[in-house]
Amino acid sequence: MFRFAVRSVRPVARLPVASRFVQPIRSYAVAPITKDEVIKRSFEALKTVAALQESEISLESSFQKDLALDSLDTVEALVALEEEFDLEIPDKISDEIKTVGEAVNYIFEEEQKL
Amino acid sequence: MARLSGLQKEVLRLYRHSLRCVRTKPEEFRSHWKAYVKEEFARYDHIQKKQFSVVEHLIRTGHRKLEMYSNPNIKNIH
Repeated sequence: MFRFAVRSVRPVARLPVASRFVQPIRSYAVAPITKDEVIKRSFEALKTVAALQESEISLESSFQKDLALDSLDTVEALVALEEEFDLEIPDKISDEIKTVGEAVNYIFEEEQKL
Repeated sequence: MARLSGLQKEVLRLYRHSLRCVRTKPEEFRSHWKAYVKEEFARYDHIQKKQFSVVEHLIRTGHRKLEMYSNPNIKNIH
């Protein structure tokens, strides 16, 4: 019985010295996001907003003029985008965003910073 | 869009924070929370923007409610 216990605590064979200093190669799990991808994901996220389900979304559409959202719906659309890209748009910038394109640009720039 | 007053921006800010808070709730109840937030705001949408003291009061109570419901122990709402 004790023999097994002793055997199990025997130290594991050490790595040869050389391999312990091998420089790890840094690899990225994902390639940096492209603008097209930001646009595609944004449109998909915007489609989940109740008020936008039927609308034709383009980069030039203004949330309030073209998509006929009220200010609360606009906030909702922006929060949907925040959720999709897992970021928070600060209040000041959020107040300034009027079109889908502006939102996409902001998200794209933020993603570049990561 | 017409320029928004500071008070109107405050309302939007509260709405934004409330919607963000929905995300911290368990996934299966998020639709309840979202419906609740929308309902709470829609309930007062007839109030004119000149009724400053009313709006101020609602913003204040809104923030207090948000703070209360932010508690992670509160998971669902009906």
